[in-house]
Amino acid sequence: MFKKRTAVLTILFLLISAGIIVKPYLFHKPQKLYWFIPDGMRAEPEVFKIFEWAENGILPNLKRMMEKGSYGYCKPVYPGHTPVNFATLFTGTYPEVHGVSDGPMHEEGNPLSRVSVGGFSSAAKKVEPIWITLENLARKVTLFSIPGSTPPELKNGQTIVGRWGGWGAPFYAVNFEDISDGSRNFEQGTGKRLFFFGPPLVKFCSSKKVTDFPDKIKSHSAPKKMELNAWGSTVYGYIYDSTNDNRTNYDRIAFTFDNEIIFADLKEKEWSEWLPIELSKKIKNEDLKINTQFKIKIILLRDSGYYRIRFFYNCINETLADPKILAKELTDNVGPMVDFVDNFPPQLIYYPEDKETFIEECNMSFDWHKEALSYLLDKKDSDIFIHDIYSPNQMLTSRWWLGYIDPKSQLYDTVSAEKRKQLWDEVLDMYKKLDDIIGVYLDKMDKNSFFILSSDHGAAPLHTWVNLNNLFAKKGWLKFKLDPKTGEPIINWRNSKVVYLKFDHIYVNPKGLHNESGIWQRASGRDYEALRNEVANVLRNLKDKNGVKPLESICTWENAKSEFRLPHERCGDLIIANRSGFGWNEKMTENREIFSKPLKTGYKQSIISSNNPCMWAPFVVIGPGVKKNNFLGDEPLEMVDQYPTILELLKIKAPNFVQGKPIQRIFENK
Amino acid sequence: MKLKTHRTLILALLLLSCSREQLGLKSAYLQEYKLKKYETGKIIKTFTYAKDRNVIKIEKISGIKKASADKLISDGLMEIRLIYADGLSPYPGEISNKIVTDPKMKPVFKEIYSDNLYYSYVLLYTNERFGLGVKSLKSASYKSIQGYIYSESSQLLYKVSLFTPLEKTFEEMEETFLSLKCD
Repeated sequence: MFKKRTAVLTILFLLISAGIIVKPYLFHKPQKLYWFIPDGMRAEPEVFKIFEWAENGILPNLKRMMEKGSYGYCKPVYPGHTPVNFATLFTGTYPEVHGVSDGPMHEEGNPLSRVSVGGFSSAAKKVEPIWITLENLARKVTLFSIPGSTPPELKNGQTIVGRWGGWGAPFYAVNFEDISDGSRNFEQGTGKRLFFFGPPLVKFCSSKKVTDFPDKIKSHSAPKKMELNAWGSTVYGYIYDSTNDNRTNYDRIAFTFDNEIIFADLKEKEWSEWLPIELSKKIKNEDLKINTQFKIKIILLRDSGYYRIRFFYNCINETLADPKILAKELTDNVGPMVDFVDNFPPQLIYYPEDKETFIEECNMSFDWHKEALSYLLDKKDSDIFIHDIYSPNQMLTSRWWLGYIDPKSQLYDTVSAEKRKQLWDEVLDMYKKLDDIIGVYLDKMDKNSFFILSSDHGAAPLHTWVNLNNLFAKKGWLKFKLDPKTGEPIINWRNSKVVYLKFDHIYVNPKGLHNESGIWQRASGRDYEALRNEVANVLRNLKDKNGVKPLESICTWENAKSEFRLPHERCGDLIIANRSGFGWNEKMTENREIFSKPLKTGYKQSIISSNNPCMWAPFVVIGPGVKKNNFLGDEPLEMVDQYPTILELLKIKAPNFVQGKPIQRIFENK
Repeated sequence: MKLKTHRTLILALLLLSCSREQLGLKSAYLQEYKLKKYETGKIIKTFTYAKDRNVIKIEKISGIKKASADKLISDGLMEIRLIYADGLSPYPGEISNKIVTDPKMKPVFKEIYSDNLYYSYVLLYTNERFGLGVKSLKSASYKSIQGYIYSESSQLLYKVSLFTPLEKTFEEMEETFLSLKCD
C-alpha cells in the first residue's frame, strides 16, 4: 500500500516537474462560440425590420435562430462607428476604458496634421480584447476579417486579414479613367486617393492611337494604347474597334504585360478571370514583392474610346494572414479573396455603371466569405470563431441605396415607387446573402455550441455635408490654401486657431494650433475659454437653408467622459454629435461653402444612437441555456452588454475592467 | 514482479521529466530571471522568463539551415517594417489621413555578428499587452527588443522578445539581449 502511494505521488511529482501541460479541456472539450458580426447590418423596428422579414420567409436562417434563441436590437456607443464599437463589443467597455474614441485619433505632443493613433490598430485598445482573454484560457481562436485584430495578438490562433490595422501589405482596387480634359481629376481632388492621401485609387491616364499592336488584335479603327500602372506593376491596354461597320466605335480592350501576349480581352461590363500578377510595395529602400492575383472589369467604354476600368486585387496575401500559410491555403482552396467592396473614400459612386460594378463586387464578397467560412469551419478546429464582413456597411453608406429607401431621407421622394422597390430588392438581396452565411453556421454548429449574430452599427441617411473647416475659415480661425494642381488643402497650422478633425472633434487654441515645435498641446486660460465658447455658440446657432440645425449635442473635453463616455486624452477641445441626415466633413474649398451635397447617401459616424433607430443593429443568440423564441423587445440593448453575456454563457468570469452586464433575460431559469 | 514494474515506471517517468528541452542559451542576465512557462510545439519550443515587470520570451527552432533561417528572419523584420511604415489613416478626411510614427518611436533595426552568432534585432515600443504598433509615446507601456539569434554551426535559431518598463534604457536592454550566447 505504501509502495503504491509512493509510486502515485512520484508520478504526480514528475508530471508536474516535467512541465507537462495538462490542458483541462482534453478531458472536457470547451463549448464552441461562433460570433458573426457583419459590419453595418442595420436592424430596427421601423424600416429595417429584419425579424419581420425573417417571419415572412425572406430570411429563413435568421428565423431558425429566432426560434432557437433570444433576439432583439442593440444600440452602438458613441461615436456610432466601426473601430469604437468593435472595441466595445470585444471588451465590454465604453471608449473611456478601451481607449478607442474614434478612427483617427490625436494625442497631445503630436502634430494635428497627422493621426497619432489609428483606431483600427489592435495596439489602440487599452484593455485586452476577448480573444486574448479566451486564448489565455487555452481556447483556440480564429479571427476572420475582424477590425481591431491586427497587428495580430493571438499567439497560437489564426488571424485572417483585419482592416486598416496598419499591418501587412494590402493592395486596394484601383480605377483607371480616361484623362480627357483633366477636370474630373481636379473635381475629385483628394477624394481619388486612398484615404485621401495615399496611393491613388483613381488614375487618370491618356491613350494614344498606335500603328504597332499585338497580332491578335483585329481592329477596324486605329487602336489606342494606354499604360496602366498600379502597385508597382504595369499593364498595357489596347482599346480597339472589333466591328467592321465603317464607324469608329471602340468596343473592346485587350490587356497585356509585354505588348505581345494578350491575357484578357474584354468588352464593356465584362470581368476577366483571376489573373496572376506581381505587385510591390516600397518600404524605405526595400521593395516588397508579392505574387498575387487580380481581376479586371471594364466599367464603361464609350464609342470614342473613353474608358473607366477597375483592377481588383486579391484582398489576402502572406503578409495579411497569421500564420502566413493561411493566405495561400485560402487562395488555393477558396479562391482569391474579395473582402473590401469599393474603397474608402468610395470610388464606385460617380457613374451609373459604377452601381452595377458595386453590386457585382458585393456579390463576390459574399460568395467568397461563404465559401471561406465553410472551409475554415471544416478544416480548422477552432473553439472560438469571430467573423466580420464589411459589405453591408459599404452598401448602406454608398450612393445608390439608403437615401432613397429610408422614409426619413430627404431623397426618399426623389425616386418613383417602382424604382424604390427595385432598390429595396437589391438591399434585401444583400440581407439574404447575410442570411445564407448564417445558414452555414447553423448547419455546421453542434447543439452544445453558441452562435451570436450582432453588428457594430446601422446606417443613417445622409443628405448634407457640413464643411466645418470652411466655416472656421470664413470666421478667420482657420488659414488654408488649395494646391492649384490637385485641389488638396495646405493648412497654416501655426496661424490657425480652430480646426475640425474627423469625426467628432474640434481643436481650439488662440495662440495657434501648433506651437513653435510644430506640435499640438492643449491650451487653457481665459482666452482659450472665450474662443472655445465662441466656437460652441457658432455651432449651436448654425442652420442650413431650411433652418435646421445640424448640431445635436456638444461638450467640452472636460466633460467627454460624463457626456459621451469618451477618454478625454484622445478627444478634441469640443466634441460634437450631428443630427441624422447631416455629416461633419473636413472638406476645404475655395468657395468656403458650409453646406454641400454629398454623393453618398448613408453615414453613421457622429450620430447618437439612442434616439436614432437607424443606427441600431441586431443581437441574436442561440445555444445551451438560452431561452428559445424569446423576443427581447423593441427597446435596444446596450452594446457593452454583449461581451459579459457571452462570457457568462461560456461560464467564464469577466475581467474586472468590464463595464457591461450580462443580459439576464436571455438565460433559461432566470 | 510488482516491485519491478513500479521501478520501471518510476525510471521511465524520471527520464521523461528530463526530456524538457534545454534552452541552449546562457547569460548572466538570464540567470536572474525565473522560467515561468515552457511550451512545446511540433517545431518551436517556447521559454518565457520573468523578473518583476521584465519579460523575456525565447522561441527555439532546431535543425534549421542558414537559408531558411535567413528567410524567417527577413520575413519577421519585414513584418515589423510594415507595421511601422508611415501609412494611411482609416476613415480619414482631407486632414486626418496619415498615421506617421513619431520619430522618437520609430523602430531601430540592428545587426551584429559576434562569437559565431548572428544577432538581428529591433528596438521599439509596445503597449501594455506587449502588442506591436504603438506609434506615439503616450500609448507606450514597454520598451521592447524583437530579435533573432542564429548559430549556423548548431543550426539553432532563437526568436527573442524582451519587454521592460519604460524607465530602462535601450542600451541596458541591448546588453541583456547580446549577452545571450549558445551553450
